Amino acid sequence: MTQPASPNCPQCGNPIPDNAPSGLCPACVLGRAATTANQTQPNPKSPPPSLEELAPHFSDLKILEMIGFGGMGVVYKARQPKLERLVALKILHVQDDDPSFEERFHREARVLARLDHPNIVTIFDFGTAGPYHFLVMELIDGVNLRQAMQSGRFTPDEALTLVQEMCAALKSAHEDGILHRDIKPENILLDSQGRLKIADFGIAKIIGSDEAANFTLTRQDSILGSPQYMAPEQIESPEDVDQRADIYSLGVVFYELLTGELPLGRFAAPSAKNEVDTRIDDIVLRTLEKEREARFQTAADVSTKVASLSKAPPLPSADRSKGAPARFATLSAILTAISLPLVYIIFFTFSSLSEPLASETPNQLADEISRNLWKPILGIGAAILSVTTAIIGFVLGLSSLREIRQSEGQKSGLSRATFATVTWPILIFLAIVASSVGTSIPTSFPILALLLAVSFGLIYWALIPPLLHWARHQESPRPRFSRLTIILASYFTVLVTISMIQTTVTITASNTLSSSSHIFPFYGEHSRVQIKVKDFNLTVNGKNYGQVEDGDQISVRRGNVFRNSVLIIPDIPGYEKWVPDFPAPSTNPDEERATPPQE
Amino acid sequence: MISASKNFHTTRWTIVRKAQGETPEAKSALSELCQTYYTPIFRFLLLQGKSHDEAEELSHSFFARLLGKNSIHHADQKKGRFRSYLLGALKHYLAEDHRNKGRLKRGGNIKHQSLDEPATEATSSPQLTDPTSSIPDSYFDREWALTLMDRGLRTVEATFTKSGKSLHFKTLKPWLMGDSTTLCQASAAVALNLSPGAIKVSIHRLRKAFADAIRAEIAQTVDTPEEISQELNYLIEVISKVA
Repeated sequence: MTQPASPNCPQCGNPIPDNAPSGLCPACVLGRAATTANQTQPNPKSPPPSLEELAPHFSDLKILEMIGFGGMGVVYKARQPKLERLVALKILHVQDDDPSFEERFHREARVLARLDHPNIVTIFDFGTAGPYHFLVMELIDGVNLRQAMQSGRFTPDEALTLVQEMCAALKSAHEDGILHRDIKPENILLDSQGRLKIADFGIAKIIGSDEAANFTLTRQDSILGSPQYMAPEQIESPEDVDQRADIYSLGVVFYELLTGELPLGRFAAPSAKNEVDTRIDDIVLRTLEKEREARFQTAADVSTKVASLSKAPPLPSADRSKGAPARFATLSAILTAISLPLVYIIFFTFSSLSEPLASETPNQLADEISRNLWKPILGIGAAILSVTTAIIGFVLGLSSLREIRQSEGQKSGLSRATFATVTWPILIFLAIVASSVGTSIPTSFPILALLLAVSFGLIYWALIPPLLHWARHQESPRPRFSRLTIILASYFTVLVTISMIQTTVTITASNTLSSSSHIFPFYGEHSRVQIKVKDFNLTVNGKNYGQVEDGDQISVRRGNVFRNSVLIIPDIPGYEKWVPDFPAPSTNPDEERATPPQE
Repeated sequence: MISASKNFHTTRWTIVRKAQGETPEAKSALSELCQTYYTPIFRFLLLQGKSHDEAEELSHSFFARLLGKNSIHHADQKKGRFRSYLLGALKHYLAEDHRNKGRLKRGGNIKHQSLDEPATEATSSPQLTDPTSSIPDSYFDREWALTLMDRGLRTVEATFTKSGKSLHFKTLKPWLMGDSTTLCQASAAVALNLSPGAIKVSIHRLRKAFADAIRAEIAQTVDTPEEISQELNYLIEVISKVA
């Protein structure tokens, strides 16, 4: 029997004596035996009925032994000689002073007996025999999930499989309008093939739904289930629960399967406790939402979500930082896809298409249209270009995401993700700018475009992932960006915002006006605006914008001129310097109107 | 658990004690017990520095003497465990043997002393060293615990083999120690062609079977069901002290 022993016990690390039986560490083996044996001790305060006490009341059953007990009752293994099968006989704990029990028991048990699902323990019979209320059930030759967890932690994959089976059972029962109300590891059984069976469906309601909650809250030994597995609303108002309470309990079991702990207080996400895919976090946290509206609404929803994880390649998660680049890559792909066409459309609409045609005679108009025909063509071309680039950016982002997932935490796709997010938009922006140069838009300036692109990239990188993290987990994100990044991003953002600001000038008199100003010294010649109004003829930077009337409002945004558009009028220093060159607006417009034009 | 406490009054040690070793039933029960715990006695003697032959001879004559006596009248006076009784008896036998040898050598100084009398006092403090012994009693208790464990394992192995699951026992045996990270349930599942869930069920069964076997084994040597846990905890304590 004695084998060459390994020098040290893998469990406690102490040396194993050379004459230890089977080379097993005696301290650990006996210690384990001491804890294993004590689990099925009945409550000495209310001893379960003995086999002898029960026998006279169950003539068609041969009761063999007690196999378990819990808050709801005591379970015996029994044989039905007529059918030659083994069954489980459950004797329910009944409160003596509960007059409605009898009626409720028969009503509910009839409903429960109709449950028929491979993952639910079947009820064969029920009734009252002498002082005992009993259920005869399918006998599960196995252990409960509590015992199974004590036999070793489940891997995330195993946990997912079990949760799928639980969902299947809950879905079926919920569709029949039956709630479990007491989902916990003790009620989830695994048979000898490892198949999952949920026991005690709806028993909590038979025992007394209101008492069930009260008992658990008031009694330390919690004879009727434990509040740790109950949804908040189930504890507060047990009468007003629906299937979402079971989903919460399922979430607690899910969390415990993954981490070995209960989700108490401000609990950490499973991936912080164990090597769990961060996508599982989302599912678990959503089943554990305190507000049931925020939870998964049906077991089928949970199941679908879990199934989608089981099919997709697992996202390595040993290192928490792996989650961030993956999210970043996804986000970058999506944002690139959304923002590029958007930015392009805004840019193009404002800069070229809104430019007014300044022709008066049909011939001139036709001429001008033909001269400007290339603009919409360019616009369509640019639109195609932007959609294409957006798709390319999206594909780049997805492919990098895939690579990050497959690289087992090496983040080898990160550079491509960065390219898709930062460099690719810059290049596209430059392309847009280059294409718009021909349209003689004075704002076209590569540096500005570059700044825009860089600031977008920085904003994505610096702000979005932590915000996303915060939104998902409702906890403060770990700062993932340096202070310098924030400062740079803010600076560029402010610049870009300011550059979009417009000013409005109201034409108040039929005068001759000549003005020239740099809106921003920073932009050099490109921000220089020259406005001339002569005989109600408006010229901006040498380009004629046709007739203006007294009272017309013109908006100026670095050379783009919009007539009669009322936009933002901020007071910014560059404009202040420039605006006073107009004659002071008169308080009486009629009077001004009466004044004949000079010349 | 239930069956253990229900059948408790029929365990060997209680039979021996109730009948004070006088009935044939009590004699056979004591004989069975002695056979079971031959190894701790023998190993204890070895640890005391006796040679292999010497230890074998001594343990044989000790048991012959013990079983040859007509009664074990001290055993009913105080509650005690078979382990304590056996060690006490052994120490007195050794002391007597020592004196007899000395007397033969020197020819005299005859002093009769009962083999049984002070046994309970001697063992009530396990660390009390015997003048004839250079090692503490806990060595005996450690050997006892190992024997107990071995018997528990054999019982479980026999049960598993009977139901055609000897491979289950061999493969899953290491999990009796706990869930150390060096153990891989997945490879065990492959070896036994079981699903991961089924492996957990099997491990739990094995542990339960072993725990039951150990308790049943201990039950044979103590007086009351409450003492089973005490005895088990004592043995765990003794064995956890690295010798």
